[in-house]
Amino acid sequence: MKNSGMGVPPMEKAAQGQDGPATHGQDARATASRSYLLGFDIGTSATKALLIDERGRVVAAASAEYPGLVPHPAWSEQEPAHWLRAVSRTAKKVLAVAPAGAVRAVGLSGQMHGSVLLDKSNRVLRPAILWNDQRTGEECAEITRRAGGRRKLISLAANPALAGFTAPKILWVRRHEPHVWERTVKVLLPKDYVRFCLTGDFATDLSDASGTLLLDVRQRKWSAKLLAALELDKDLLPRCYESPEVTGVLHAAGAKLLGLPAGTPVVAGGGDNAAGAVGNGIVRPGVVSTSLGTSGVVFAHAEEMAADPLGRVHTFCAAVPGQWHVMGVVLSAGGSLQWFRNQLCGEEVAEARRRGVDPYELITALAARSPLGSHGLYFLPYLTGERTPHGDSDARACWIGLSNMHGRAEMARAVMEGVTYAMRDCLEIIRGMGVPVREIRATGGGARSRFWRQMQADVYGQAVRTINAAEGPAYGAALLAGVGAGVWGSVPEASDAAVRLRTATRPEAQARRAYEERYREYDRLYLALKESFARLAAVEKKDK
Amino acid sequence: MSLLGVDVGSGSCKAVVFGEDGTLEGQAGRPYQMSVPAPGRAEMDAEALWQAVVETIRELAQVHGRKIEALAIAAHGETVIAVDADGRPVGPALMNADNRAVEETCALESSVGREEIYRLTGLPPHPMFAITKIMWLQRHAPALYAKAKRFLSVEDYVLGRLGLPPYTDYSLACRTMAFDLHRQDWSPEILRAAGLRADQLGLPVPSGQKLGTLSAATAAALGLREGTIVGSGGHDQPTGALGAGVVDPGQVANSAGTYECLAAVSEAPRNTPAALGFSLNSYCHVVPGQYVTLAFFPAGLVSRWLVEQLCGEDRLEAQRSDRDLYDLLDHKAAQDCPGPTGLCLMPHFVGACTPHWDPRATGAIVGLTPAHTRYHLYKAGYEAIACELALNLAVLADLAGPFERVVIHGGNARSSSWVQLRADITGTTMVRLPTTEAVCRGAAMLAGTAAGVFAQAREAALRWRLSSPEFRPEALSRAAYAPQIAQYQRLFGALAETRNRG
Repeated sequence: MKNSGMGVPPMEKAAQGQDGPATHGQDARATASRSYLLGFDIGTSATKALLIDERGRVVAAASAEYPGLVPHPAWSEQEPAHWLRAVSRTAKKVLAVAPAGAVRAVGLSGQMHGSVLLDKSNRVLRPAILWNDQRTGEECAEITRRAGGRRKLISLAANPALAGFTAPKILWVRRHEPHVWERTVKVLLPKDYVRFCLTGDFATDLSDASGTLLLDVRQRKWSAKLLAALELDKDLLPRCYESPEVTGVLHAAGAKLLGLPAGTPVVAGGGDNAAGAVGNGIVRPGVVSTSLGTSGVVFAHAEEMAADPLGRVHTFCAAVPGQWHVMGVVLSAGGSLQWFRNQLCGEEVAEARRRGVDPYELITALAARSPLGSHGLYFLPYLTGERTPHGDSDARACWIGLSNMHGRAEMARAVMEGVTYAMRDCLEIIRGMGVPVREIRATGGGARSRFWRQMQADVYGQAVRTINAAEGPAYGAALLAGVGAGVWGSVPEASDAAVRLRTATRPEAQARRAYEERYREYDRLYLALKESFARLAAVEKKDK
Repeated sequence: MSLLGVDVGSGSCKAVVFGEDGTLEGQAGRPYQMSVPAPGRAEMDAEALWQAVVETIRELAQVHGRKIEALAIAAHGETVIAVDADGRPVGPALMNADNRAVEETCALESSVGREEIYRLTGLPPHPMFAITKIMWLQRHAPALYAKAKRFLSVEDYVLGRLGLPPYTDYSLACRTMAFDLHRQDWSPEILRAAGLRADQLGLPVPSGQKLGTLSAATAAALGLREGTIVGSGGHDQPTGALGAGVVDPGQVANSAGTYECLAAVSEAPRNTPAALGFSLNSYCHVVPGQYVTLAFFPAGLVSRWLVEQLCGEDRLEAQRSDRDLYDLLDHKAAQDCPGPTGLCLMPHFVGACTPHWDPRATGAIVGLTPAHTRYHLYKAGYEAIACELALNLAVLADLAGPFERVVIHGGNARSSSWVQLRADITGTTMVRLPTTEAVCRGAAMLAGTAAGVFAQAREAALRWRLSSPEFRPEALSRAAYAPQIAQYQRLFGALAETRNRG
């Protein structure tokens, strides 16, 4: 799962005292006595390192990009060696610009679901297969069958088999690359391979382990039943820890890699979404985030384990020990508006360049010219298929209800409304599972627009709050390191140190009622078009 | 000797002078503006309409006036103009797009019966037809109604202003929905139900008849010769079909403009109950003894919407590089998207006409992926038109008889690639007329028939036959598009269901 923004991928950079969470200006007098926490996010396109102080203030940040491999269409791989180089480079950058002081602990987060295969000498056997790789359709079917059907699988793993998850990748290698499989003795997630190279420990955290489809998410341990059904040995997998637990300390080589003293503790950390939630304060029951990036994510913290029996949302262990989170995904959220901008807003893009403003500002102004409901025009934002709630990879985007009276203003507003309705779909499932939704925090690029925040509040029927600019998963990993080092007593306490609430946007009664009606209609449109999507996809496949 | 064909459309008046052999010698035109005083209403100053006709003819007459032997008027249908005893308008023209007479349409339908109206007139009851508008005036504008001696269609009105009796040809009379197409006279049943007398309407005559000649005064005002023969013209669609050489059964004319119109020729009216189910119009051709079955749907207006709304960047590029915008878009579409777009565009931006007939239908663009560009959307508009065409041709073949070729003419047939796309998607050979002035040609043929240049309209079509390029369906492209029409039809059904359920 990628926690991505709407803009371009970050370029390699290092900055001191970046404006981030709880950065209350640079305190130049703080010197030798300061101690720090170091967090990493081993992402899909870059690794980010973040150094924070014991009050949660960002001291330094750096990122380094690396390439991906696409050996076949819809495949996605990466060389784990890139991660190590990026981790080393970014660590040294942030430590170089930080005032002197001790790093008390290191936290890791990263892209989920990826698989790193090691032989008995701990050598990487093949490039890691990443979360966004789509090769494992058959293996997903096999897992579902072996587990005793979809419902049974969901009761064991809390999630259905999705092509991106780890277990299907393991089965794929076993079937298609037997020469690799027979030498495989360990399978690690991306950040846990980095951990192994730093400390020599085979360990993972429960949030990241939830995305393997091999974890008993309710009992928070590897599922013996699933491992048996898939004929996998438990020794293939690392040991599971709660996110703030220390899994080991830097050994000599690891210490050299980071430029830190050997013996520095490393905490379990979390998958990117779980760690990001720590940074955004989504660590208490009732707190939910709606993130509008390229994809949209609705993320709810839950004290009690709750899984959707239909598998429409993911239920994973949270970075808060003994608790969970539930997550729905809109594949093309900001991505829909980005497509609209690129294809149909040449005039606004040119105008924005002339005036030196963000083109999205002009597109939002265009959308605001249309009345609520876009004069009966709807947009289904399924440009890259649909995940939550329908799980339909054949679904495609559409405008429905076009007439002569519509123009680009209505089209733009319909796109924003459609994306927001799709987010509401996720929210509805989460509410329906009995997970409380008391406070919604808007994050991601979409949260920057006042217009879109108001639309979110009106569509969700609930106030939407923003928080101080989030630094993402690396920040959460650093906070987790702090909890592991005893800087804070608990994960929520660490979050409190970091998160400041900013604006609150409340729904307007009339708009809320008007959207309610339109949201119902939006939901009916998918059902009406479901078959057409399948047929269009069949035609497409035949053409290829 | 030359012949003058005048086409009084709903947006402009055009006139073309042809030599006796059919060569185009000169043309002129004047646009006019419709007004929309309230939603659903559409009016025009009838005096301004007449002035546009005068100016258009005068412009041509400056060069060609002396040699013009005869003229005839082709006109758009359904519009009604109330005139006094002198043929002067007593109110604005109520245009074909005016839909105010909904209640009157229902009243007429309940007193005569929907099936009976269709059996008598070949038209499915609709407020666009003139008789319902006359009923509206009766009820809602009694003062104007009392002043009016007659309620005329556009041809009758223009003939009246030319100093002739207000003749109306059968094909245009049909468009009032008060004309019995079997008896070829005003329908007593409908007039009775509407509370109207036949002498309040135009005088029905066949097309291509000599009606009279221009008086010295009128001729002078127009710059024409005294004694210029005036012939009866026709409704623009069948007149255009004549101009395109579509005079016999087994032929279909396709006029491609803002709306797309298909006229299939048959020897008898095809107003069967099955045809009513598709809301096909069945009425008199301008070729005596022949009938046309009309299917129509919005088309060019969708292409124009796509270009105006989505292609602003290309408009700027076209201006910068001094290129024609549509040429530029055609070129980019060919580059970006050589095959099917994978999109399904529903072109019902103003409701769906034949064969669906669902005024509540709306447009849609279905199937978007990140790989789609605006040029895919642009092309999807033409795919949609071709799909609507395919559906309508299938219905026409079924109900009006088989045909081999479709003769296409009009502004939206300009691009060869989109005509080829029509051939590929419909599986029908398209013949493109090398002129966009089919209606004026047809009117000039009728003028020539009235003047005795031709023994009959069919002979005019034969003598003025144009050599036209053919677009045959290409097997590969046809196969690639084969699933599209079925997909298109199912999607219409799926979307209609969401409307009906709501």
